[in-house]
Amino acid sequence: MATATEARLEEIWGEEPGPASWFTTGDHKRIGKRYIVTALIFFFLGGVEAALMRWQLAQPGATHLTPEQYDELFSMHGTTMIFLFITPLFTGLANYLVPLMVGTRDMAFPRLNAFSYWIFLGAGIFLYAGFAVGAAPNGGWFAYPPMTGPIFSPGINMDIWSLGLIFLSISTTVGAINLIVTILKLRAPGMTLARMPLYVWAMFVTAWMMVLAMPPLTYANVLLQLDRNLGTHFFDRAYGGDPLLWQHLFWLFGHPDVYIIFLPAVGIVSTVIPTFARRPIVGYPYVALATVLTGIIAFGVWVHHMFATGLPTLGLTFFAAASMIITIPSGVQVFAWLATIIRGRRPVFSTPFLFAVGFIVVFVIGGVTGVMFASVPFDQGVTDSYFIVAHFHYVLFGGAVFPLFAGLHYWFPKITGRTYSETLGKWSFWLIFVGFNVTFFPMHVMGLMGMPRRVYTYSPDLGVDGLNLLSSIGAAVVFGGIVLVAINAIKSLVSGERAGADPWGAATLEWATTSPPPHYGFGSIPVVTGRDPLWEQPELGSDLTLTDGREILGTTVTDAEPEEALPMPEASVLPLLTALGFAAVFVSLLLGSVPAALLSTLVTLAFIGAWTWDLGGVPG
Amino acid sequence: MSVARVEPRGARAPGWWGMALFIVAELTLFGTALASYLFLRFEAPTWPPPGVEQPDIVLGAIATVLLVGSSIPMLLAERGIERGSLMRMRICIAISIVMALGFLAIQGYEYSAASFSWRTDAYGSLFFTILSLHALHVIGAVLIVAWLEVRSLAGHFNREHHAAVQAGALYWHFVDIVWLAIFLVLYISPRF
Amino acid sequence: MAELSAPGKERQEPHRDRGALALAWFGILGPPTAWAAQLLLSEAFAEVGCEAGGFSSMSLVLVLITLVALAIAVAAGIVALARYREAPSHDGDAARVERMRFMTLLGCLSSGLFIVLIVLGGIVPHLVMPSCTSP
Repeated sequence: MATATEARLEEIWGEEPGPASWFTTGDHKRIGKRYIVTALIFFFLGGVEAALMRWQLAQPGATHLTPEQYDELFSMHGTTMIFLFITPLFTGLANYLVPLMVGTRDMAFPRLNAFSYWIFLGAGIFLYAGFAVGAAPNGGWFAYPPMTGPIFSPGINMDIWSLGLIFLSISTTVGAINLIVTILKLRAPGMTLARMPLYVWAMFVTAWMMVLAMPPLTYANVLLQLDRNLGTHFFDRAYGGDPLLWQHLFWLFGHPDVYIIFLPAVGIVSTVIPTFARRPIVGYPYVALATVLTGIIAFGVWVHHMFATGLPTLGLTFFAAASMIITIPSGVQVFAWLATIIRGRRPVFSTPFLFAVGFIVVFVIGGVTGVMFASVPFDQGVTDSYFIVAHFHYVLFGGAVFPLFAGLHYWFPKITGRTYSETLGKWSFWLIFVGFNVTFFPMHVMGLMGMPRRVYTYSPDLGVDGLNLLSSIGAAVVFGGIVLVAINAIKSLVSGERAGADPWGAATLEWATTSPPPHYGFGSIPVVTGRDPLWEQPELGSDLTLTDGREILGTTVTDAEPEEALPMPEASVLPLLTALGFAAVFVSLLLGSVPAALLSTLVTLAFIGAWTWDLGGVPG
Repeated sequence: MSVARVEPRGARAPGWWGMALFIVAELTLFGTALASYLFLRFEAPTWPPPGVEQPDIVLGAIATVLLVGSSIPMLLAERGIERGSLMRMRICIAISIVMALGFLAIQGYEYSAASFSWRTDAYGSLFFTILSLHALHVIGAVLIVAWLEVRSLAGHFNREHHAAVQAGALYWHFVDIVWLAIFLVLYISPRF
Repeated sequence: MAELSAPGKERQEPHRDRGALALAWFGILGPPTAWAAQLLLSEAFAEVGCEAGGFSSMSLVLVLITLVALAIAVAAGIVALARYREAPSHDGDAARVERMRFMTLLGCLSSGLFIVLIVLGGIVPHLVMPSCTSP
């Protein structure tokens, strides 16, 4: 039975179901869900690309795919998984969770939030348009010139890739800014920096990394476009350019990017493990600092992707040192998680907990091979072989997808209001865990035996036939496990038991709302006095309800002391229209039409103008 | 109990933080661009390459004075609206716009007068790309503050509500400061 | 129901507060900034020096850069440690005291890690590596 306050808040914040509100909503929960579903569709597409590759590689000399098709598949598999799946999915999850976890009612800029989703969707479609015209990107996910330059990649494939990524970077940057401002200015009173949930710390550092890492990639892609289409010479040695410039720029982005992928996963694990170990995390300050320092040091190791390029040794050693040191903060986090499990009560072996523990096992293996790569001589021996393919799948699939599945299962009841089947959950975990190791462990051996990466087939003389077949069988098992997760999700959505507010007995603020939460999030502004509010505080609410209009509470940056009530914008179609304008600009650029590009730019500027006008004094 | 409903000022407004972070991203972009210039420069035996003239430091200096100088009327515009003086804000923003347009005119002249293009070699590619990138940002800043002028005519701003003006002015100052770095690296450093 | 204090409540000794906060941030972010500067400058000078062929004069610059970076990291650590050990003032509220201890602890640890990294990255290579060879 809704109280008068709740009814009033529902009136202010509620949205009519139906297509109109679908295009105009700024509600972080709806946008978050949208991101998650779209990213999962790209996960499926990336998985199909992987399945096709493993089918081709199951036997030597297979001819299921041509070399050209194989090039497109591995390029799009990497691009999809990194740019269109894992980062948008973690962004979407953060969109949903961060406002709830910090105790506020929406992100700092709701319209910008909607806009960043539409750009992501547009960029994803843009990148996949290549398949539709038989010209999918085929230069790998790191696109080294001169191979991707105008002479060796004359088709439109790499233009789709570089323009598509510039397009996508708008979404990433804007989304990151939104997260940072939300976390700095909208935390519940009492939630000082020392009391912020570790998931929020993780997303905070990740967002800062996005702001700093995207520009080098965008700049590199601009230069590539100029070299490809306008005759400039950035990467052309004959005219004073240098292909290594691309590599520096790309990896200046690329290495931080893998931590942009990893840190949200760390945040999820730091949330899931304490809940099921049924005690607060051991060493909160150490884990928080480890997150920050990993994010910082990540910007100082990029040259380790270039150890085999002939750079002077002295320079390489600076980066080898940093690449070894960066494992220390990660190690600290692993010890903190293990200590939490050991010192807690007998843990609840739920599906999220299994995925979290599975992550620790797999990530440590990946981390060990990573440290091996920090050694320059070893790296030069195995780089560009299947050993590196094994390593990065252990840290990316193991290090990000396992925690992702932990998080999806963990928050499924909160987001959908239903409980999933534990039986199906456990089966899917074991299939994925076993299948994953069967797929990727043999790749270490394959690499050491000399199988290079990015080859569409291999010679039987190499002696890796059996291992490749084993790996492909493992891939089928993983696929089965993921299908089982999908079945679990759909079945539970349709007929699962209704979930209560806090089925796990967890500690953070999102569990103080109903499942799913109402449009307005919290009935009254919560006040926080510790790190685990639901475990420490019998009473969470305050007398502040902000029912005069669409308002949230702004607080100070370090200590979250209340400042003022901040007005929030109403729903609007302008973010969608602006995103369409940007899409038109990028399509015009791809087709090489200057008049169309100019016209679309003017239209986009008009929409942006209307958007700022419409807000009046409200930031949004 | 109630919480104050005045618009948060300056550093406390979420909109200010949003603009500040956007500027951080842009600073990184320009930093990367200048780093790429230095990277290719130190690989080259001579710089500028043979046959290419040094950038015109006199024109560059005039352009610098115009653009960086335009931050002064912009500061006065901010101060104006903080005191509620719409007239002062509008006039000062207009002056800043004129100075920026002067900067762009000089840049345009430099592009046309150069004996090399961005296709000549890597030096040309870097020179014109970095300058055009910056010029596009100047155009962007002009559009932003011009739009602020239009909005001020519609009565969007007063002494209590002008966060957008502060954000726009912040962006203007950023574009000016970045030019100083570009001037140093592109115009002055090749002479050493 | 918690009662939220009215805004604009006078903060005690705001100036000392702001200074203490700045030092706390220096403790956490000073060491990584010093390291980042050392890394970028060393890498730039090493590459330029090797291109030009003359390592010896450049090595003095590299040592200098490393020592300055090390000094900053150590200074940040000392500041953080001093603040961490300081008895909390009696009129500070519990949340602020807890937050300050948190930040100064982070400063100590940050300084420690980056001292190791600066030494490992800045000093050890010079002792171990022949300067301008390429693998």
